[in-house]
Amino acid sequence: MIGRYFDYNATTPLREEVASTMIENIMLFGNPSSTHSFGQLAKLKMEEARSHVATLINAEESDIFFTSGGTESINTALKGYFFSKDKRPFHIITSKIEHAATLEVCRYLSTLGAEITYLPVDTNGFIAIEDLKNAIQENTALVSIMFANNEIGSIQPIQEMVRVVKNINSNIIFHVDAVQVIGKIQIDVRDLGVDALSMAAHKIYGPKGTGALYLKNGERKLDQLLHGGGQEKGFRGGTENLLAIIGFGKACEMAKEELEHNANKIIALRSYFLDKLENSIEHYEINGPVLGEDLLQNTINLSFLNIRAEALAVLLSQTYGIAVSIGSACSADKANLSHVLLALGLSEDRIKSSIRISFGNYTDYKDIDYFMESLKASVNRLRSMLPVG
Amino acid sequence: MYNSIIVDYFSNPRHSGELTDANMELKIGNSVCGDTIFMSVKVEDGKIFDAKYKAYGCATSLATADIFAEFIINKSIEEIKQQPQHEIDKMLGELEPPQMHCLNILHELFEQIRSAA
Repeated sequence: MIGRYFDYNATTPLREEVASTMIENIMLFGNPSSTHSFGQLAKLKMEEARSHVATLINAEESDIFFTSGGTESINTALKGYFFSKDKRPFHIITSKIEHAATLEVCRYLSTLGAEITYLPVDTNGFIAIEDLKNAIQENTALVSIMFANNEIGSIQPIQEMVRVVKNINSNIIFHVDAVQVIGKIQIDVRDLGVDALSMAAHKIYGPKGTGALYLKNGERKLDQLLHGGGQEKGFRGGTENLLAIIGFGKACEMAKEELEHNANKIIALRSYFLDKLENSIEHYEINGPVLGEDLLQNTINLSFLNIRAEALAVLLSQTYGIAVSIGSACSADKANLSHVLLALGLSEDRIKSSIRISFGNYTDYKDIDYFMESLKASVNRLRSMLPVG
Repeated sequence: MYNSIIVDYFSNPRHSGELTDANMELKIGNSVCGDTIFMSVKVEDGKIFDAKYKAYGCATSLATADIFAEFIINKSIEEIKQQPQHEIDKMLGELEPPQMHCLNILHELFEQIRSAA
Protein backbone atom coordinates (compact mmCIF):
# COMPACT_ATOMS: atom_id res chain seq x y z
CA MET A 1 0.00 0.00 0.00
CA ILE A 2 2.42 2.60 -1.22
CA GLY A 3 -0.31 5.26 -1.03
CA ARG A 4 -0.06 5.13 2.75
CA TYR A 5 3.61 6.00 2.71
CA PHE A 6 4.18 9.63 3.67
CA ASP A 7 7.87 9.48 4.51
CA TYR A 8 9.56 10.07 1.16
CA ASN A 9 12.20 12.31 2.73
CA ALA A 10 13.44 9.33 4.74
CA THR A 11 13.70 7.17 1.67
CA THR A 12 11.81 6.41 -1.52
CA PRO A 13 10.61 3.13 -2.97
CA LEU A 14 12.64 1.72 -5.84
CA ARG A 15 10.83 2.74 -8.97
CA GLU A 16 9.80 0.04 -11.41
CA GLU A 17 12.03 1.24 -14.26
CA VAL A 18 15.03 1.26 -11.93
CA ALA A 19 14.22 -2.21 -10.63
CA SER A 20 13.85 -3.52 -14.21
CA THR A 21 17.19 -2.03 -15.23
CA MET A 22 18.86 -3.57 -12.21
CA ILE A 23 17.27 -6.95 -12.86
CA GLU A 24 18.40 -6.83 -16.50
CA ASN A 25 21.94 -6.33 -15.27
CA ILE A 26 21.90 -8.55 -12.24
CA MET A 27 24.20 -11.13 -13.83
CA LEU A 28 26.71 -8.48 -14.80
CA PHE A 29 29.57 -9.45 -12.55
CA GLY A 30 32.67 -8.05 -14.19
CA ASN A 31 34.92 -5.78 -12.19
CA PRO A 32 34.95 -2.36 -13.90
CA SER A 33 38.67 -2.13 -13.18
CA SER A 34 39.46 -5.28 -15.22
CA THR A 35 40.75 -4.84 -18.74
CA HIS A 36 39.07 -7.94 -20.19
CA SER A 37 35.68 -7.90 -21.87
CA PHE A 38 33.75 -8.78 -18.70
CA GLY A 39 35.29 -5.84 -16.90
CA GLN A 40 34.90 -3.49 -19.82
CA LEU A 41 31.20 -4.24 -20.19
CA ALA A 42 30.76 -3.48 -16.49
CA LYS A 43 32.73 -0.27 -16.93
CA LEU A 44 30.61 0.73 -19.88
CA LYS A 45 27.43 0.36 -17.82
CA MET A 46 28.98 2.26 -14.95
CA GLU A 47 30.00 5.13 -17.21
CA GLU A 48 26.51 5.26 -18.69
CA ALA A 49 25.22 5.68 -15.17
CA ARG A 50 27.80 8.38 -14.46
CA SER A 51 26.60 10.24 -17.51
CA HIS A 52 22.99 10.21 -16.24
CA VAL A 53 24.06 11.43 -12.80
CA ALA A 54 26.09 14.23 -14.37
CA THR A 55 23.24 15.25 -16.67
CA LEU A 56 20.82 15.57 -13.77
CA ILE A 57 22.94 18.34 -12.21
CA ASN A 58 24.47 19.67 -15.46
CA ALA A 59 27.97 18.51 -14.55
CA GLU A 60 30.70 16.88 -16.58
CA GLU A 61 30.91 13.10 -16.23
CA SER A 62 34.47 13.50 -15.02
CA ASP A 63 33.19 15.57 -12.09
CA ILE A 64 31.13 12.70 -10.67
CA PHE A 65 32.63 10.27 -8.13
CA PHE A 66 30.52 7.38 -6.95
CA THR A 67 30.29 6.75 -3.21
CA SER A 68 28.17 4.59 -0.93
CA GLY A 69 25.63 7.40 -0.45
CA GLY A 70 25.03 10.83 1.00
CA THR A 71 26.85 10.22 4.26
CA GLU A 72 30.01 9.03 2.55
CA SER A 73 29.90 11.91 0.09
CA ILE A 74 29.64 14.43 2.92
CA ASN A 75 32.33 12.67 4.95
CA THR A 76 34.60 12.65 1.91
CA ALA A 77 34.10 16.34 1.23
CA LEU A 78 34.47 17.63 4.78
CA LYS A 79 37.22 15.33 6.00
CA GLY A 80 38.91 15.38 2.61
CA TYR A 81 39.36 19.13 2.55
CA PHE A 82 40.30 19.22 6.24
CA PHE A 83 43.02 16.60 5.92
CA SER A 84 44.39 18.13 2.72
CA LYS A 85 45.30 21.38 4.46
CA ASP A 86 48.56 21.67 6.29
CA LYS A 87 47.80 25.01 7.74
CA ARG A 88 45.82 25.20 10.93
CA PRO A 89 43.50 26.43 12.24
CA PHE A 90 40.87 25.31 9.80
CA HIS A 91 37.58 27.15 10.05
CA ILE A 92 34.35 25.57 8.79
CA ILE A 93 31.04 27.37 8.46
CA THR A 94 27.92 25.27 8.51
CA SER A 95 24.42 25.65 9.95
CA LYS A 96 22.49 24.45 12.96
CA ILE A 97 19.98 22.56 10.82
CA GLU A 98 22.33 20.30 8.87
CA HIS A 99 21.88 16.56 8.62
CA ALA A 100 23.71 14.48 11.21
CA ALA A 101 26.17 13.43 8.49
CA THR A 102 27.49 16.99 8.45
CA LEU A 103 27.06 17.83 12.13
CA GLU A 104 28.79 14.67 13.30
CA VAL A 105 31.72 15.15 10.93
CA CYS A 106 32.07 18.75 12.16
CA ARG A 107 31.94 17.57 15.75
CA TYR A 108 34.66 15.03 14.96
CA LEU A 109 36.83 17.56 13.13
CA SER A 110 36.49 19.97 16.04
CA THR A 111 38.21 17.35 18.20
CA LEU A 112 41.09 17.50 15.71
CA GLY A 113 41.38 21.26 15.97
CA ALA A 114 38.90 22.55 13.41
CA GLU A 115 37.00 25.65 14.38
CA ILE A 116 33.31 25.38 13.53
CA THR A 117 30.70 28.11 13.18
CA TYR A 118 27.10 26.93 13.23
CA LEU A 119 24.94 29.55 11.54
CA PRO A 120 21.52 30.13 13.08
CA VAL A 121 18.31 30.09 11.07
CA ASP A 122 15.19 32.22 11.32
CA THR A 123 11.81 30.88 12.46
CA ASN A 124 11.22 29.44 8.98
CA GLY A 125 14.58 27.73 8.74
CA PHE A 126 16.47 30.17 6.53
CA ILE A 127 20.06 31.28 6.99
CA ALA A 128 20.60 35.03 6.72
CA ILE A 129 23.15 35.94 4.05
CA GLU A 130 24.47 38.62 6.40
CA ASP A 131 25.18 35.97 9.05
CA LEU A 132 27.10 33.94 6.52
CA LYS A 133 29.07 36.98 5.42
CA ASN A 134 29.86 37.96 8.99
CA ALA A 135 30.99 34.46 9.88
CA ILE A 136 33.77 34.41 7.29
CA GLN A 137 37.18 34.72 8.90
CA GLU A 138 40.69 34.85 7.56
CA ASN A 139 41.12 31.15 8.26
CA THR A 140 37.77 30.05 6.82
CA ALA A 141 38.49 27.16 4.51
CA LEU A 142 35.16 25.47 3.98
CA VAL A 143 31.46 26.26 3.93
CA SER A 144 29.05 23.34 4.01
CA ILE A 145 25.34 24.08 3.75
CA MET A 146 22.36 21.86 3.21
CA PHE A 147 20.45 22.83 0.06
CA ALA A 148 17.05 21.88 1.46
CA ASN A 149 16.21 20.76 4.92
CA ASN A 150 14.80 17.26 5.26
CA GLU A 151 12.52 18.06 8.22
CA ILE A 152 10.98 21.40 7.29
CA GLY A 153 11.82 21.83 3.60
CA SER A 154 13.47 25.26 3.68
CA ILE A 155 15.64 25.77 0.58
CA GLN A 156 18.69 27.94 1.10
CA PRO A 157 19.76 30.48 -1.55
CA ILE A 158 22.90 28.52 -2.41
CA GLN A 159 23.77 30.45 -5.55
CA GLU A 160 23.76 33.74 -3.67
CA MET A 161 25.65 32.20 -0.76
CA VAL A 162 28.38 30.94 -3.08
CA ARG A 163 28.66 34.36 -4.70
CA VAL A 164 28.99 36.10 -1.32
CA VAL A 165 31.58 33.63 -0.06
CA LYS A 166 33.66 33.65 -3.22
CA ASN A 167 33.60 37.45 -3.40
CA ILE A 168 35.21 37.61 0.00
CA ASN A 169 37.66 34.78 -0.58
CA SER A 170 37.60 32.69 -3.73
CA ASN A 171 39.75 30.02 -2.08
CA ILE A 172 37.01 29.03 0.35
CA ILE A 173 35.54 25.69 -0.69
CA PHE A 174 31.75 25.57 -0.88
CA HIS A 175 30.15 22.17 -0.37
CA VAL A 176 26.42 21.66 -0.59
CA ASP A 177 24.47 18.73 0.77
CA ALA A 178 21.96 18.26 -2.03
CA VAL A 179 20.70 14.87 -0.89
CA GLN A 180 17.18 16.14 -0.34
CA VAL A 181 16.82 18.27 -3.48
CA ILE A 182 18.12 16.32 -6.45
CA GLY A 183 15.26 15.19 -8.62
CA LYS A 184 12.91 17.60 -6.84
CA ILE A 185 14.20 20.93 -8.09
CA GLN A 186 16.36 21.83 -11.07
CA ILE A 187 20.03 21.75 -10.08
CA ASP A 188 22.71 23.26 -12.27
CA VAL A 189 26.12 23.10 -10.66
CA ARG A 190 27.54 25.56 -13.20
CA ASP A 191 25.01 28.20 -12.23
CA LEU A 192 25.39 27.45 -8.54
CA GLY A 193 29.17 27.67 -8.66
CA VAL A 194 29.64 25.17 -5.83
CA ASP A 195 32.89 23.25 -5.47
CA ALA A 196 31.37 20.04 -4.17
CA LEU A 197 27.88 18.58 -3.97
CA SER A 198 26.64 15.42 -2.26
CA MET A 199 23.89 13.12 -3.53
CA ALA A 200 22.22 9.83 -2.58
CA ALA A 201 20.38 7.44 -4.89
CA HIS A 202 17.74 6.22 -2.48
CA LYS A 203 16.08 9.62 -2.20
CA ILE A 204 15.22 9.61 -5.90
CA TYR A 205 13.70 6.12 -6.27
CA GLY A 206 17.08 4.49 -6.69
CA PRO A 207 18.71 1.78 -4.58
CA LYS A 208 20.26 2.26 -1.17
CA GLY A 209 24.00 2.07 -0.71
CA THR A 210 25.08 4.34 -3.51
CA GLY A 211 25.42 8.02 -4.20
CA ALA A 212 27.89 10.47 -5.61
CA LEU A 213 30.10 13.40 -4.84
CA TYR A 214 30.35 16.10 -7.48
CA LEU A 215 33.68 17.90 -7.57
CA LYS A 216 33.96 21.01 -9.72
CA ASN A 217 36.21 20.41 -12.73
CA GLY A 218 36.89 16.96 -11.33
CA GLU A 219 39.45 18.65 -9.14
CA ARG A 220 40.67 16.56 -6.31
CA LYS A 221 42.20 19.07 -3.98
CA LEU A 222 40.93 16.98 -1.12
CA ASP A 223 42.31 13.86 0.49
CA GLN A 224 40.50 10.64 -0.22
CA LEU A 225 38.47 8.96 2.48
CA LEU A 226 38.84 5.36 1.36
CA HIS A 227 42.31 4.28 0.36
CA GLY A 228 42.56 1.15 -1.71
CA GLY A 229 42.70 -0.12 -5.24
CA GLY A 230 42.61 3.11 -7.15
CA GLN A 231 38.98 3.06 -8.26
CA GLU A 232 37.21 6.28 -9.24
CA LYS A 233 40.40 7.55 -10.83
CA GLY A 234 42.29 6.79 -7.68
CA PHE A 235 39.99 8.87 -5.52
CA ARG A 236 37.90 6.22 -3.82
CA GLY A 237 39.21 2.75 -3.16
CA GLY A 238 36.85 -0.23 -3.26
CA THR A 239 35.23 -2.14 -6.08
CA GLU A 240 32.23 -0.17 -7.21
CA ASN A 241 28.70 -1.17 -6.18
CA LEU A 242 27.99 -1.74 -9.85
CA LEU A 243 24.37 -2.88 -9.79
CA ALA A 244 23.34 -0.08 -7.44
CA ILE A 245 25.23 2.45 -9.56
CA ILE A 246 23.37 1.24 -12.66
CA GLY A 247 20.12 1.72 -10.72
CA PHE A 248 21.24 5.16 -9.59
CA GLY A 249 21.92 6.13 -13.20
CA LYS A 250 18.47 5.01 -14.28
CA ALA A 251 16.89 6.87 -11.35
CA CYS A 252 18.72 10.06 -12.40
CA GLU A 253 17.67 9.62 -16.01
CA MET A 254 14.01 9.26 -15.00
CA ALA A 255 14.24 12.10 -12.49
CA LYS A 256 15.56 14.42 -15.19
CA GLU A 257 12.83 13.44 -17.64
CA GLU A 258 10.01 13.84 -15.16
CA LEU A 259 11.29 16.65 -12.97
CA GLU A 260 8.96 19.36 -14.19
CA HIS A 261 5.91 17.13 -14.34
CA ASN A 262 6.52 15.72 -10.87
CA ALA A 263 7.28 19.12 -9.37
CA ASN A 264 3.98 20.49 -10.68
CA LYS A 265 2.10 17.48 -9.37
CA ILE A 266 3.66 17.90 -5.93
CA ILE A 267 2.75 21.59 -5.82
CA ALA A 268 -0.88 20.67 -6.56
CA LEU A 269 -0.85 17.91 -3.94
CA ARG A 270 0.55 20.26 -1.30
CA SER A 271 -2.16 22.80 -1.97
CA TYR A 272 -4.82 20.07 -1.81
CA PHE A 273 -3.32 18.74 1.43
CA LEU A 274 -3.23 22.14 3.13
CA ASP A 275 -6.81 22.96 2.08
CA LYS A 276 -8.06 19.66 3.43
CA LEU A 277 -6.10 20.12 6.63
CA GLU A 278 -7.58 23.55 7.18
CA ASN A 279 -11.06 22.08 6.89
CA SER A 280 -10.43 18.93 8.92
CA ILE A 281 -8.45 19.68 12.04
CA GLU A 282 -8.26 22.48 14.57
CA HIS A 283 -5.33 23.79 16.57
CA TYR A 284 -2.37 22.89 14.43
CA GLU A 285 0.66 24.85 13.30
CA ILE A 286 2.99 24.49 10.34
CA ASN A 287 6.66 24.37 11.26
CA GLY A 288 8.98 25.96 8.73
CA PRO A 289 8.04 27.71 5.53
CA VAL A 290 4.43 27.47 4.37
CA LEU A 291 4.31 29.18 0.99
CA GLY A 292 6.74 30.36 -1.64
CA GLU A 293 9.27 28.89 -3.98
CA ASP A 294 12.06 28.46 -1.48
CA LEU A 295 10.62 25.34 0.09
CA LEU A 296 10.42 21.67 -0.73
CA GLN A 297 6.80 21.36 -1.78
CA ASN A 298 6.58 17.73 -0.76
CA THR A 299 7.49 18.43 2.87
CA ILE A 300 5.00 19.52 5.52
CA ASN A 301 5.93 19.65 9.19
CA LEU A 302 2.97 20.03 11.53
CA SER A 303 2.41 20.41 15.26
CA PHE A 304 -0.90 19.52 16.87
CA LEU A 305 -1.82 21.16 20.16
CA ASN A 306 -2.03 18.71 23.07
CA ILE A 307 -0.90 15.75 21.01
CA ARG A 308 2.21 13.72 21.58
CA ALA A 309 3.48 13.14 18.03
CA GLU A 310 4.98 9.81 18.97
CA ALA A 311 1.55 8.53 20.02
CA LEU A 312 -0.02 9.99 16.88
CA ALA A 313 2.55 8.31 14.64
CA VAL A 314 2.00 4.93 16.33
CA LEU A 315 -1.76 5.30 15.99
CA LEU A 316 -1.50 6.25 12.31
CA SER A 317 0.80 3.31 11.69
CA GLN A 318 -0.96 0.64 13.72
CA THR A 319 -4.55 1.56 12.94
CA TYR A 320 -4.32 3.00 9.46
CA GLY A 321 -1.06 1.68 8.05
CA ILE A 322 0.20 5.22 7.49
CA ALA A 323 3.90 6.07 7.70
CA VAL A 324 5.05 9.51 8.86
CA SER A 325 8.12 10.74 10.66
CA ILE A 326 8.32 12.46 14.06
CA GLY A 327 10.52 15.20 15.45
CA SER A 328 10.98 13.62 18.83
CA ALA A 329 11.02 10.05 20.01
CA CYS A 330 9.28 8.96 23.20
CA SER A 331 11.83 10.01 25.70
CA ALA A 332 12.44 12.10 28.74
CA ASP A 333 15.72 13.10 27.23
CA LYS A 334 15.86 16.61 25.76
CA ALA A 335 18.73 15.52 23.55
CA ASN A 336 16.13 13.56 21.62
CA LEU A 337 14.32 16.67 20.44
CA SER A 338 14.77 17.55 16.77
CA HIS A 339 17.76 19.87 16.47
CA VAL A 340 16.14 21.43 13.43
CA LEU A 341 12.94 22.39 15.23
CA LEU A 342 14.98 23.59 18.21
CA ALA A 343 16.95 25.83 15.85
CA LEU A 344 13.67 27.40 14.70
CA GLY A 345 13.14 28.41 18.33
CA LEU A 346 10.13 26.16 18.88
CA SER A 347 9.07 25.13 22.38
CA GLU A 348 9.64 21.62 23.70
CA ASP A 349 5.88 20.99 23.70
CA ARG A 350 5.55 22.04 20.09
CA ILE A 351 8.47 19.89 19.02
CA LYS A 352 7.06 16.89 20.86
CA SER A 353 3.79 17.41 19.01
CA SER A 354 5.30 17.60 15.53
CA ILE A 355 5.10 15.15 12.67
CA ARG A 356 6.70 15.37 9.26
CA ILE A 357 4.72 14.40 6.23
CA SER A 358 6.58 14.03 2.96
CA PHE A 359 4.99 12.81 -0.21
CA GLY A 360 6.34 11.77 -3.57
CA ASN A 361 5.79 10.17 -6.97
CA TYR A 362 3.30 7.58 -5.79
CA THR A 363 1.14 9.90 -3.70
CA ASP A 364 -2.27 10.65 -5.13
CA TYR A 365 -5.25 12.78 -4.16
CA LYS A 366 -7.15 9.78 -2.84
CA ASP A 367 -4.16 8.96 -0.62
CA ILE A 368 -4.35 12.44 0.86
CA ASP A 369 -8.10 11.97 1.42
CA TYR A 370 -7.40 8.74 3.30
CA PHE A 371 -4.53 10.33 5.19
CA MET A 372 -6.65 13.26 6.28
CA GLU A 373 -9.54 11.09 7.46
CA SER A 374 -7.10 8.96 9.43
CA LEU A 375 -5.28 11.97 10.84
CA LYS A 376 -8.51 13.62 11.91
CA ALA A 377 -9.76 10.47 13.62
CA SER A 378 -6.41 9.93 15.35
CA VAL A 379 -6.04 13.51 16.55
CA ASN A 380 -9.63 13.53 17.79
CA ARG A 381 -9.15 10.26 19.60
CA LEU A 382 -5.99 11.38 21.37
CA ARG A 383 -7.56 14.72 22.27
CA SER A 384 -10.68 13.01 23.62
CA MET A 385 -8.42 11.17 26.06
CA LEU A 386 -6.90 14.33 27.47
CA PRO A 387 -7.24 14.89 31.19
CA VAL A 388 -8.96 18.10 32.22
CA GLY A 389 -7.31 20.28 34.85
CA MET B 1 10.04 -0.65 18.70
CA TYR B 2 6.74 -1.46 20.40
CA ASN B 3 5.93 -4.86 21.78
CA SER B 4 2.61 -6.52 20.98
CA ILE B 5 1.13 -5.78 24.43
CA ILE B 6 1.75 -2.05 24.07
CA VAL B 7 0.48 -2.00 20.49
CA ASP B 8 -2.67 -3.87 21.46
CA TYR B 9 -3.64 -1.74 24.48
CA PHE B 10 -2.67 1.51 22.82
CA SER B 11 -4.51 0.77 19.58
CA ASN B 12 -7.57 -0.72 21.25
CA PRO B 13 -7.96 0.91 24.63
CA ARG B 14 -10.55 -0.80 26.83
CA HIS B 15 -10.84 1.64 29.69
CA SER B 16 -10.32 5.20 28.49
CA GLY B 17 -12.96 7.66 29.65
CA GLU B 18 -14.34 8.95 32.93
CA LEU B 19 -16.38 7.40 35.73
CA THR B 20 -19.22 9.53 37.08
CA ASP B 21 -19.47 7.60 40.35
CA ALA B 22 -15.78 7.23 41.18
CA ASN B 23 -14.67 7.39 44.79
CA MET B 24 -10.92 7.12 44.30
CA GLU B 25 -8.58 9.13 42.08
CA LEU B 26 -5.08 8.27 40.97
CA LYS B 27 -2.96 10.99 39.42
CA ILE B 28 0.30 10.79 37.56
CA GLY B 29 1.77 14.08 36.52
CA ASN B 30 4.98 16.04 36.27
CA SER B 31 6.94 12.93 35.58
CA VAL B 32 10.18 13.54 33.72
CA CYS B 33 8.61 13.17 30.30
CA GLY B 34 5.50 15.23 31.03
CA ASP B 35 3.08 12.33 30.81
CA THR B 36 -0.20 12.77 32.66
CA ILE B 37 -2.73 10.18 33.78
CA PHE B 38 -5.94 10.88 35.70
CA MET B 39 -7.61 7.63 36.71
CA SER B 40 -11.01 7.48 38.35
CA VAL B 41 -11.76 4.33 40.31
CA LYS B 42 -14.96 2.91 41.82
CA VAL B 43 -14.22 0.97 45.01
CA GLU B 44 -16.77 -0.85 47.15
CA ASP B 45 -16.04 -3.00 50.17
CA GLY B 46 -12.36 -3.10 49.37
CA LYS B 47 -12.93 -4.25 45.79
CA ILE B 48 -12.47 -2.32 42.56
CA PHE B 49 -15.55 -2.40 40.40
CA ASP B 50 -14.46 -0.12 37.62
CA ALA B 51 -11.66 2.19 36.53
CA LYS B 52 -11.31 4.64 33.67
CA TYR B 53 -8.66 7.15 32.76
CA LYS B 54 -7.85 10.30 30.84
CA ALA B 55 -4.26 10.66 29.74
CA TYR B 56 -1.72 12.65 27.78
CA GLY B 57 1.51 11.05 26.79
CA CYS B 58 3.35 8.71 24.51
CA ALA B 59 1.88 5.48 23.16
CA THR B 60 3.50 3.37 25.86
CA SER B 61 2.24 5.51 28.73
CA LEU B 62 -1.32 5.50 27.35
CA ALA B 63 -1.10 1.72 27.04
CA THR B 64 0.26 1.56 30.60
CA ALA B 65 -2.84 3.31 31.94
CA ASP B 66 -5.08 0.90 30.07
CA ILE B 67 -3.16 -2.20 31.16
CA PHE B 68 -3.24 -1.04 34.77
CA ALA B 69 -6.98 -0.29 34.67
CA GLU B 70 -7.69 -3.72 33.23
CA PHE B 71 -5.55 -5.35 35.89
CA ILE B 72 -7.22 -3.71 38.89
CA ILE B 73 -10.84 -4.07 37.80
CA ASN B 74 -12.61 -6.85 39.71
CA LYS B 75 -9.70 -7.27 42.10
CA SER B 76 -9.66 -6.53 45.79
CA ILE B 77 -7.28 -3.91 47.10
CA GLU B 78 -5.58 -6.67 49.07
CA GLU B 79 -4.94 -8.70 45.93
CA ILE B 80 -3.47 -5.65 44.20
CA LYS B 81 -1.27 -4.91 47.20
CA GLN B 82 0.08 -8.42 47.14
CA GLN B 83 0.97 -8.39 43.46
CA PRO B 84 4.69 -9.21 43.49
CA GLN B 85 7.13 -6.70 42.02
CA HIS B 86 8.51 -9.12 39.45
CA GLU B 87 4.99 -9.74 38.13
CA ILE B 88 4.35 -6.00 37.87
CA ASP B 89 7.56 -5.60 35.92
CA LYS B 90 6.32 -8.10 33.34
CA MET B 91 2.97 -6.42 32.76
CA LEU B 92 4.15 -4.06 30.01
CA GLY B 93 6.20 -6.67 28.18
CA GLU B 94 9.71 -5.96 26.99
CA LEU B 95 10.41 -2.24 26.73
CA GLU B 96 13.05 -0.32 24.84
CA PRO B 97 15.22 2.08 26.86
CA PRO B 98 13.23 5.24 25.94
CA GLN B 99 10.03 3.50 27.09
CA MET B 100 11.38 2.42 30.47
CA HIS B 101 9.98 5.48 32.23
CA CYS B 102 6.54 3.93 31.71
CA LEU B 103 7.50 1.19 34.13
CA ASN B 104 8.00 3.92 36.73
CA ILE B 105 4.53 5.22 35.90
CA LEU B 106 3.12 1.72 36.45
CA HIS B 107 4.92 1.40 39.80
CA GLU B 108 3.60 4.80 40.81
CA LEU B 109 0.04 3.74 39.99
CA PHE B 110 0.42 0.62 42.15
CA GLU B 111 1.92 2.72 44.93
CA GLN B 112 -0.99 5.15 44.85
CA ILE B 113 -3.51 2.30 45.13
CA ARG B 114 -1.58 0.90 48.08
CA SER B 115 -1.40 4.19 49.93
CA ALA B 116 -4.94 5.32 49.07
CA ALA B 117 -6.61 2.23 50.40
